[in-house]
Amino acid sequence: MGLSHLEASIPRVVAEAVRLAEVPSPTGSEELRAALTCELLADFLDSAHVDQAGNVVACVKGSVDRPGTVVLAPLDSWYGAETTPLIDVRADRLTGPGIVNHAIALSSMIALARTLRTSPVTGLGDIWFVATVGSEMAGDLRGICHLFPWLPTVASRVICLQGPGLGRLDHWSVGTYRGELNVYAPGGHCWRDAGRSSALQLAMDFSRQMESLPKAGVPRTLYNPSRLNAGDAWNTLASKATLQFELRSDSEDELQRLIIQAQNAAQDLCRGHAGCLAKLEQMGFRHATGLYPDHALVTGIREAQSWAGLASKLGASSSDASVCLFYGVAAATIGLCNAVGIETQMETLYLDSLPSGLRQAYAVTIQVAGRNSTK
Amino acid sequence: MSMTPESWISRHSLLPTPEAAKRLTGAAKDGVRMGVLLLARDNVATIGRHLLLLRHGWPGGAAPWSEILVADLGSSDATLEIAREHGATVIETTGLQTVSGIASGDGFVSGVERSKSDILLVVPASLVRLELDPVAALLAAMLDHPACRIAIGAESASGSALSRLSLRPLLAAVCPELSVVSDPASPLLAVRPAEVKPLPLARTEGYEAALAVDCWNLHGLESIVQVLVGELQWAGGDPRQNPTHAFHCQLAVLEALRRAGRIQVQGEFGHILPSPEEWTESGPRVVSRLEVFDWKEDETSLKLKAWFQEKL
Repeated sequence: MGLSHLEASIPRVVAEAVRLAEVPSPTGSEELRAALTCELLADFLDSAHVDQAGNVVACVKGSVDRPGTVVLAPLDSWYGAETTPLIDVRADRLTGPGIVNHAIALSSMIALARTLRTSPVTGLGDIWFVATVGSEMAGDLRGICHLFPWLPTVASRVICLQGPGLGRLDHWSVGTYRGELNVYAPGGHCWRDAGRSSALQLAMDFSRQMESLPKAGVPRTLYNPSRLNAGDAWNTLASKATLQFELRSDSEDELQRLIIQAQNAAQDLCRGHAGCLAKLEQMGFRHATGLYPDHALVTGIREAQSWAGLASKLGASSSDASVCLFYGVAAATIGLCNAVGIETQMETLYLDSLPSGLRQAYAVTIQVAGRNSTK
Repeated sequence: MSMTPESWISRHSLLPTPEAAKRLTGAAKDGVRMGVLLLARDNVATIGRHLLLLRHGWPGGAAPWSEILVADLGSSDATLEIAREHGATVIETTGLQTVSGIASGDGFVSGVERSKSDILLVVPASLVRLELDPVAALLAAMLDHPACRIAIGAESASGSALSRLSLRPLLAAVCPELSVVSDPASPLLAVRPAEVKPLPLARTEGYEAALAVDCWNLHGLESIVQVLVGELQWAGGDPRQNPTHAFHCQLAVLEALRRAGRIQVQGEFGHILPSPEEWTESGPRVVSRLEVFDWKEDETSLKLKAWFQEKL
């Protein structure tokens, strides 16, 4: 009955995804989308409220005394304040910034809560529905961090909903270090002052050093220089350079080893270069940790995905689940639809994949909330 | 007794309220028939979005519509196909087919004739966004003011460029009672079909302001209400900036004012109308080539602005 209710409400899920996507919600400015999310939840859940961090929290009370489950979806979007999101609605697809990451996850979470409220399933514990702020790297997982130490007192399982990747089951958190290297040099004219150091050259030296470090193939580990701003004019020696980069690894040990090497490289970078200074700052961090494939949460989700006709694709990602896993709460991330152009202005969601995605999300929630027996 | 402009401002100039949408759902359950009429011409990029949100995105879940009509203004793309897929009733509009299609006034007349609703929301499908709270507020204003024939969605207290720079100076000069209407050229409106059907509706672009003048002429200011709906965003630009649209709109208003006995000029008006290039934000307003005068915001206009500012 609940499932047929959910399937009948798919047009509403789509419409609410469009409404949510069109409320701009860059990381750090999620208030308006939080207000709309809270309003939509408050239609059928009196408990819906916005907490001190800006997260929206609501609860569907269970019928049995067993540990609770949290269903999460991110409130923020990857784009900045300059984007005014507008969604193009077609019969077979939705296109526009933020519709996949993460508006469809939010509207699906609301639809799950509505279904479980209006068509209750017996034998489930409490299910908390939480929309989190600061899930993108710039937010440094501010919202989910705020839920600790409260979360483990009400729930022992967390399901993170994300838009892209039908059948996706991320049970591992990719360890991520986001660094910004600022290099300062005296500058000067490239001809007249030849011989002085250039901040740009030094930043590139750092990047080359990081690139040449040996990195493990298993566990997968990488260095990615993502942005370089430097220079003043054609004929000058760059007086400042800013290099932004990421280190990623499935292994916490590998990640920590690389971070130390990056710190050492930054410290030694200006040795012998008169008047130069390099500073490395951490801009974001997520631990590498996770659940093994035979963990009860992972096997439970796989069973539910299989029931929904989906082949589970086990993988790793970096999301709100990272914090839960770090604090010892079992968490996994599932995807809801097929999509292309993720995190571009042409982000596109294929609507024919959504019914399977929702069926899966419903089955996963029932499975996890009904079997959850460990505090 | 007819309302004074001052009392009209305080009782008939409204802001959207968040609870309007749910009130409409309740009113629909109580038997009030509400419909929506989309005026569409080659709006393949926007019509699906509007129909999806109107049918399934309504705040509270249950949309109040007893009918969803799409009046075709001469579409040559998949607009009508999409409309039918979303469950809308497509009306083949009868009217003069020009190079740019059929006029929105023709679509409005066809929709009003076909409608079985007590209150009908009229929306140009070429709007990029359709905010549901202001739309709900327009309909709620009609519920709250049973004597109203038309609810106008004002973009701002001063109105859109066509209203601000052409129509309001004209109305202030020859029909000061109507200078309280912020945006007579707004294409986002709600009407009572049974009440507006007998009016001499202009079957042209820019029919809306003439409709307001005719309502005022026959039923007084109390037959009009306005709601501040915010800026309208258009796919392909604001059609009211099109010289032909502006010309037809001004012409329709002049004809309506002549019907109301406020203009005595015999013959045609066409040759005396200014084009949008002649509109200016300051200095003398060219209302017609026969009449050039200083436009100063009168006391009523200033009170209207103050009223909205205070409420906002």
